[in-house]
Amino acid sequence: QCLDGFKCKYLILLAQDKLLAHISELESVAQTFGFKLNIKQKAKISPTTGKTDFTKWIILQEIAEENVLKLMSRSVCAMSAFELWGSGSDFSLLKQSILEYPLEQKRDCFKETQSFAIRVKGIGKKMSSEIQRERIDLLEDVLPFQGKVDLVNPSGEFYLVEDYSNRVQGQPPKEPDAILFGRLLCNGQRSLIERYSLKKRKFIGNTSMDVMLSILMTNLGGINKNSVVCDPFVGTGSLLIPAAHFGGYVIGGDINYNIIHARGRSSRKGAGWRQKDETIRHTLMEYGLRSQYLDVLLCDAACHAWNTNGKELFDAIITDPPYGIREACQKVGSKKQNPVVPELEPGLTHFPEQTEYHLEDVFKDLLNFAAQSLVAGGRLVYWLPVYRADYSPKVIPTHSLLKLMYNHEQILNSHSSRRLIVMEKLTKENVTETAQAVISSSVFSGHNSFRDKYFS
Amino acid sequence: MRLSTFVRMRLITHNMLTSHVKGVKNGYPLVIKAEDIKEQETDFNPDFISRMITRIEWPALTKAMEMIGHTDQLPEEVPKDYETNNDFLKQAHHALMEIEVITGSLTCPESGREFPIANGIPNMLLNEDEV
Repeated sequence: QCLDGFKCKYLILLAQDKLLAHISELESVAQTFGFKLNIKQKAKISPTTGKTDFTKWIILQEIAEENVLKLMSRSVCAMSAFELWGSGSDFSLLKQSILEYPLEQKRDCFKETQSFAIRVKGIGKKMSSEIQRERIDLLEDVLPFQGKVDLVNPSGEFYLVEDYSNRVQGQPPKEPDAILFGRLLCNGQRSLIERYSLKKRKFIGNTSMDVMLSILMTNLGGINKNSVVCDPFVGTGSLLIPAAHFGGYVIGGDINYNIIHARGRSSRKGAGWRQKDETIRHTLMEYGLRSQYLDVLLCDAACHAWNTNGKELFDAIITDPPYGIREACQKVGSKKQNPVVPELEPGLTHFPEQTEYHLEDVFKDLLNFAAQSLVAGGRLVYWLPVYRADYSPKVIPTHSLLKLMYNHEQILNSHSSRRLIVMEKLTKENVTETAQAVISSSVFSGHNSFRDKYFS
Repeated sequence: MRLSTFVRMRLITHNMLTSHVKGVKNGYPLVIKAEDIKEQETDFNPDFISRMITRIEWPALTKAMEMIGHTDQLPEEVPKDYETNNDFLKQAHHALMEIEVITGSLTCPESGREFPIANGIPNMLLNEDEV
């Protein structure tokens, strides 16, 4: 525990993540729990690639330990959190800073009754057991532990971290750029990725979201216990699972009759027809999250049935609209001028004809829906597919009631990517109610605007 | 069409839906015609229900209860002390979360257009000649 009057610093080791969304995630989680973050992160421009490189770790300052624990209770970008005891650009400076760390903070850990373990970790370089032992020996004079060593279940677990991630000509440097030492507080939520793995889940589809990304989206969405979360393109509900896990109540809509009613063929190779229990509600039941399920509807996002007339319904909208690649963008409609719907006998369902739902309209409708139905401060999190050669910030859809918070690119292939967009609903003052979504670029207009370029 | 026994529509959902038939001005709330109803106990979370009281339209909820034949189970108005009134919250919880419509329909109060509920899932899709 951090003692009164002393400002502890906390080291967070980050997971490898091309999306580079860790700061966004931590800021969003902090906001969800009602506190601010002060992150020190070193960034530098790589001399070889010209791109901005970030350290694989960050230091949090001016934060209560309980808030660090709150961050770690949600984060999938953060691997572990430590109370930082010392740091330096070389070993002797590191030892010096450990010595200078207040004794009152360390004293309890040195007690005879406290077992301990020291682990050595190289970032970007494997450190042999020989070198690890050597480092631990070198630390002996600044770490007067009196308790027993326990490598399996110690009372105090300590890490020496050496950062070799700043490669020189493709090789790790001979000496680390930074050496850090800290007491392990806890790990992040990466273990959830295995728990909710799609490989083990019965009900999946072509476009079920990767578990790590769906947890990230949940965190970016500011979802907390008792949040009401909607996915208007719900499909198999993969995006709603983490929301339910963290205490949100989930509801979804989809235009696809088969997915909603658990009919048709399974997406899993060799699995045959879908079974009765391949529904979102059943999936949540299997995970012990049945209480979090509200409902699903057959609903066309282009012409939705939600009551958005002056009523704010949702705390968050988390969704992955179709791009026209693995599933078609469809809305109810007909190519014919005056379509005629046949009279059906009672009890039979008419499956309305569907027509192309242009991406431009998909996103405008989504933003309008979010702007109307989100509570003030509520978030919209969605993926925007982009042909990289066409990309400029103008491509991102805007709405005067929604503020763009984050925009992270995930590269799909050499010419296409998708961007994780996070928007926050502004409070109503000073903004007109009749505002509409705007896209200042024509890249999404017309037939198959993304699909054609993706496959070209 | 197979009957799934796992899915139903709750009244909290009904409270959030409206008729989107073209030209309709008073499409809310939808009229419920319920053929099959089930009462299913779910975990009572007073914090969640208390939050929902401000989100939902209370008159639409009392009307919905009447429409399915569950009269006199809810007060006409939300009491001022609703946040701490556990008895009230339990009643609201029962109405919002524990009554599930399996088959029936939701009808637009202005145009009469019926949206069927089958297997507990409301079909809110308009036909191609209505969009």
